[in-house]
This record gives sequence, structure tokens and C-alpha cells, in this order.
Amino acid sequence: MHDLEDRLRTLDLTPPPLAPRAIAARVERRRRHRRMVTAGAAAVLVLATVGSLAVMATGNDDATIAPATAPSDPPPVSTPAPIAPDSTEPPTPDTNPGSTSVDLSGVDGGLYLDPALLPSDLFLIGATSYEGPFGTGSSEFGVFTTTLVQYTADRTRIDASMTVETLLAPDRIPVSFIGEAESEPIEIRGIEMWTNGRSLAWNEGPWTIIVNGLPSDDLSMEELDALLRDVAEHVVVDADGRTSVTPPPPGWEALGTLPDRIVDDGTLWTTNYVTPEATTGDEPVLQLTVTTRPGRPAEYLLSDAIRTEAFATDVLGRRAIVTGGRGFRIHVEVTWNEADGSQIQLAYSPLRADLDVDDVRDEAIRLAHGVRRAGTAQWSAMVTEARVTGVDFLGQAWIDPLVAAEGHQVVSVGQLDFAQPAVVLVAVATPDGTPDGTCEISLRVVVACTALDDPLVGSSGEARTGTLDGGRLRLIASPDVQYVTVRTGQGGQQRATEPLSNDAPAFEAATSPRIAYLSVPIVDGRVCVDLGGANDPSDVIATFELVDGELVASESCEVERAA
Amino acid sequence: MLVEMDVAAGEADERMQQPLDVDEFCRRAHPRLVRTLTAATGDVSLADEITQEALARAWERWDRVSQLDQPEAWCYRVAMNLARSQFRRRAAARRAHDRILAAPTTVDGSASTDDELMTALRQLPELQRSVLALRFLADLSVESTAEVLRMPIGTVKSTTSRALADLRTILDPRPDTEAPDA
Repeated sequence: MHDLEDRLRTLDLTPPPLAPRAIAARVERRRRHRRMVTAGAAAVLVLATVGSLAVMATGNDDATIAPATAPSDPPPVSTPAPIAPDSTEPPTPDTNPGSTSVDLSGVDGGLYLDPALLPSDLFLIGATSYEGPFGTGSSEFGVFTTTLVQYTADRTRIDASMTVETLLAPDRIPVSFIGEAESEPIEIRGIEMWTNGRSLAWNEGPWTIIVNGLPSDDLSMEELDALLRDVAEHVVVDADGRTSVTPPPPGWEALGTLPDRIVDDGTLWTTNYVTPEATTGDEPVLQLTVTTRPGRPAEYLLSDAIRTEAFATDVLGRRAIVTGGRGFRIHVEVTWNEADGSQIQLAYSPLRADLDVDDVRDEAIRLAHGVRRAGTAQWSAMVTEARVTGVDFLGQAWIDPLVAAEGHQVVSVGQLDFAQPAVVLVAVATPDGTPDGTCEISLRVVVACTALDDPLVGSSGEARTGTLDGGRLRLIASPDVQYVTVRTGQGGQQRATEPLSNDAPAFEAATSPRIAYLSVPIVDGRVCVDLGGANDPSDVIATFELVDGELVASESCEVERAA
Repeated sequence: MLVEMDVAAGEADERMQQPLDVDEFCRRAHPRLVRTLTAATGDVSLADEITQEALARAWERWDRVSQLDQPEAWCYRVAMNLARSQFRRRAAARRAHDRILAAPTTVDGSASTDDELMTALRQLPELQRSVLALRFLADLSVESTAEVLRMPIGTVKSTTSRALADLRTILDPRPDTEAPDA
């Protein structure tokens, strides 16, 4: 009877070993590439404003994200040596004549914001240093990656990009399966290669080489396929697996070749600021980071985001790249290289979502001009200050009076799923201790309190919207609604709902109302909301239209969904 | 939501209550999470990716996650959520590549007994796979499995029963009863 259970218990699924510091490296990478749940509408908005904003922000159209063109030797580096192309040498202050240059190099402390530019509502919450090595890489088999880019005509943005990856793949794996198994081999340079139209792969010596082309609106599939073949025709692989493409396709240039499994020594300094309205668990409003990675252009740090969202501007006499846009929180990053090989990044993410993205970008650039480097003594003082303020920030005493004002007392405090920050869930009771449901707190304001006997508990396929706070949509739904999809003409976003009463026993939690907070799409036209059921977003159990913050039945939304 | 897990019922539940520093916690939890997620997703590369993401989130919030009764159960929940979320689609291309490279095969290319079981597992619905993985590979109690998957205990029991029955049928499609006499 239990033979199958025993077979399952002893199932041989030997996992791949966890690389040393792999999780730490991932954490570091996550900090850099903070997740953005970007609605399609926001992407369109960003695209539409990028060009003009670049000019507005810089006052001229000379600022580009293209690396400085003056070739020079890469700076001395630690082991292993980064493969820094000449063109990635950071521009010197001379490349931005007329601007004020500030030296941010140093090894004794992290960054801080000049008090003269620090908004009065921001206060220090964290000052940490993290010793390397840092590791990043897109594949456990990755060895090197060469990135090819195509800039826009004014060189303010990267218009398209391709990568040439070198993998050390086990011989037992047939290369024909890389990409798509059903593809037919082609022959280039006398080598059998496989393509699926978006990538092209082959074995060369001990290496597996993959050329990846990112989809582009301006490129047909045939053109992309031709590009891949052109690159494959001109790829040269050296004994260590480094690749070069000589010459690159017309209009393309190599951004550089870097180890795919990058290991850097040094220190990552991080400084965090928040505003008083931040709630426990919120990501910082302002984060400053600096680390030294000689030869690493900012383009690499920003990964694919640079394709659609980036523009260049001047910060402290250096060419800085500005990325980001609207997500659950608007998030803007300003990144630049220092002369000593350091990378500086300012991440600015206001808590409120109803701000203008352009205003947030402008503010981020303004703040970036206030970035300074602390010395030993100042950094030590910052660490002490952050410890003191951190205790208050992470504490929960501030919640008690808020809930008491609603006639409740706090039973326990938790957080909405970490993918939905800025919301604190508080299980509450009446003054005599009787459980009385849950209150939600966002931006240190009670958004709503939901009683245990809320009518939604016994319903199916039902939902109602709550307060539209700070530009966000609160949606509370019946227990069978596990997903919410917001659709607009420009795109959509999908979010899993969470049970509102996570403190309740499992059965009660499964029969409690479910909650989700979404960023509100800023669009003209119809906004449709689908309620998905039972672990399957495609299982839509109800469709509504969002009208003035309320959900109303909509035949047209039903028709659009069916289409 | 930081969830206080119920009283531990099995060895795994007790194991998950050991206080650890975050590095040590990740090192210990990683193989168990990957193994369980592999059974749940049918994909070792995806499982490893999801596990590392879950552990990274635990790392970032270690001051709070470490205060939970069962930090590893929290990771199971995060990982299971990730497995069914857009996370899977976002890096699908990359993992598809790695998945193929990492696909387990025996030396002679034939399917092993474990391969046979994994193949059968992959044919089960996602929920059934998840329940079996948590119950028998992660060795979680029914109660903890219910907490991780956020479903009633009764549903965990019934799903387990159905999943085992379906798995048996897939592994051995012959009818259990003897043919009626001619």
C-alpha cells in the first residue's frame, strides 16, 4: 500500500550543488535589478517620453548612453580580470565640459546624500557594507557573454541588442536541442548550427555558442534570422571561450565581452533612506549603492532595461544612464561610472504611485547631483544613526494607535505578499478580545477593515474595489478568486490574490476574502478586470469593467476577453 | 504575510524549526527545496531557479523570516507561489535551454526507475504534484502542507489520495481487478 509513497520519499533527484555565495550574489543582483511589474501602458508612456526627456534633462542632445569613444587601456583589475573593451572606459569630466565634477572614488565608506539636497522627509534607515566576491551569471554553464548593441540614430538609447554566449556544456548534451528541438541544422563556416529564428547555437571546440537576438518591433523575423547568421558567420572564439564578432553587422557595435559568471572582489556599500509614511517592510525610497567593478559599463548593470527605458544625462560631470518607470511603485535608477572603476547607482522609488513619472525622473536626477562619498568617520556615524532609526522603523508600536482609532486592538501583524509591498495586514480583535477580522494599512493609513463575516466569504466570483490610495487599486474578492488580471488597450497586469486572514487556521484562511493591490493603469479608454479561479489564471470566473474605481458588469469587456 | 506554522507533526517540521544563520540556512535548505520543487514542477533547472529565488527572498528578510517557527516552510510557500506565477514565464527561454542541458539521463540512455516515476509525476496536474512533493519528498505533515499551499487540510488529504491513485494508474495502467470469468 505504501510502496509508492516510499518510492516518492526515496526518489533520486540529486539537485545541482549550490554555488558558494550564490544566494548572496542573487540578493545583490536583486537589489540592482529591482523587480518592476510594469504595465503595458506604462511602457508606452515611458517610450513616448524618453526622447524628449533626454533633451529636457540635459539641456542639449549630446548626452548619449553610448560609451565614450576614446579608446584607452582598461584599468587595472583584480582576479579574474574583467574583459573590458576599450570603448567602455568611463568618460572623463572633460567629456561633459561646463558641468561640475565631484570625485566619488574612495574605499573608506559608502555614499550619502548632501544634506543641502536631501528632501526633508527622507531619513537614513540603513548604511551597510557587504564584502565580495559577488557573483552573477545567467546560466550555470555560462563562461563569457559578448553583447552587441545598436544605438538609436541620436545615440541616446540602445535600439536593439544581441548576445553571444559561451557555455561549457557537457558533451553528452546534443547541441541540436538548444533552442528548439524541431529546428533543422544549417551550415555556417562549415559548422552545423541550429536556429529557431530567435537564437542560433552550435558546438565549437569544447564550447557551445549561442547567439540570442532580443525581439524588436522594428525587426522582422526574417531580418532577425539574417542578423543571427551574420553574427554566427563572424564569431571568433579563443581558447578560453571569449568571443568576438569581427566585424559586427552593419550598424551594430560590441559593448564588450564579460565573464558570464562574474566574480568581483571588493565592497558593496548601500545606503537607504525612507520617508516617515513608509510602513514596515517597504523597500527604501532612496537607495545609494557603490561598488568597484573596473571596466564594467553601466549598460551591463542595467541589463535589458536599457533597451526600452534608458536615456543618458549628465550627473556630476559624468555620463549617467537613467532607467525605470511605472510599476507598483515608480522606480527610477540613475547609474554611472566613476574614474576609479566604481559604479554608482541611485535608486529612487517614491511610495506613492499617483505621481508623474517624468517628475520622479527629474527628481531622481536632481538628487543624483547630491550624491557624496563618506569617509571612515562619517560612514561609521551613518551606521550608528541607521541602527537607531531602524529600530523605530522596523518596530510595530506605531500600528497600535491607528488600529485603536478604528475600535480594534492588534492581534498580530503581517504583510501582504512580498510582491505587493506597502501594505501591512493587521489581525484585529474587539476590545474584549473577540477576533474581528483584518485591517489593512498602507502609507501609515488604515485603508480598510474587513470583518470576519464579510459577505464576500460566502460568495463566488465576486469582488469590490477599495480605496484608491496613492494611485493603487485595492481589490477584495470572494475566496474562489485566486488571480486578478487588469486589461487595457495597451497591456495588462496579473496578480495573485492573497487570503486576507492569514492568521486564521488553514481552513478559515482558505475561505476568507482574498486581497490584491495593483498599480492602476493610467490610460484613456476601457479598463477591464478579470477574476481568475482555482490556481489557473486562464480560468476566468468573472469579468468587470473598472469605472470610476468601481467594478461594473461589462459586456464589452467580456467580448474582448473572449476575443 | 509572515505565517506562524502549526505544531510540527513530522521530522521535517522539527528540522525546519532549527535556528540558523542565513548562510547556513540556505546551504541546508537548498537541496531539500530543489528536490521537492523538482518533483512539483518536473524540472530540475526550474526548481533550482525557483529555490534560489525563494532563498534570496528569505535572505533579504532574514531578520523577520528567521523569527518564524519554520523558516523553511516559508520558503516552500514562496517557492510554490513562484512556481505558479509569471516567474516561470519570464525566464522561460533561458531555463528551457538549461533544462535541456541538465536533463537527467542514465549512462546508457535508458530510463531509470526514478526517471519512470518522474515521467509519471509530470503527467499529474500541478496541484497533485505539489501535494505529493510536499508530503513525501519534503516530508511535511498534512497540516504544514495545507499551510504552504493555503488549502484546507481535508483538501490536502483528498488530493493526496487522488494523486497517489492517479500515479499508480499511470505507472501501471493494468486494471486492478481480474477480468470476469468467461
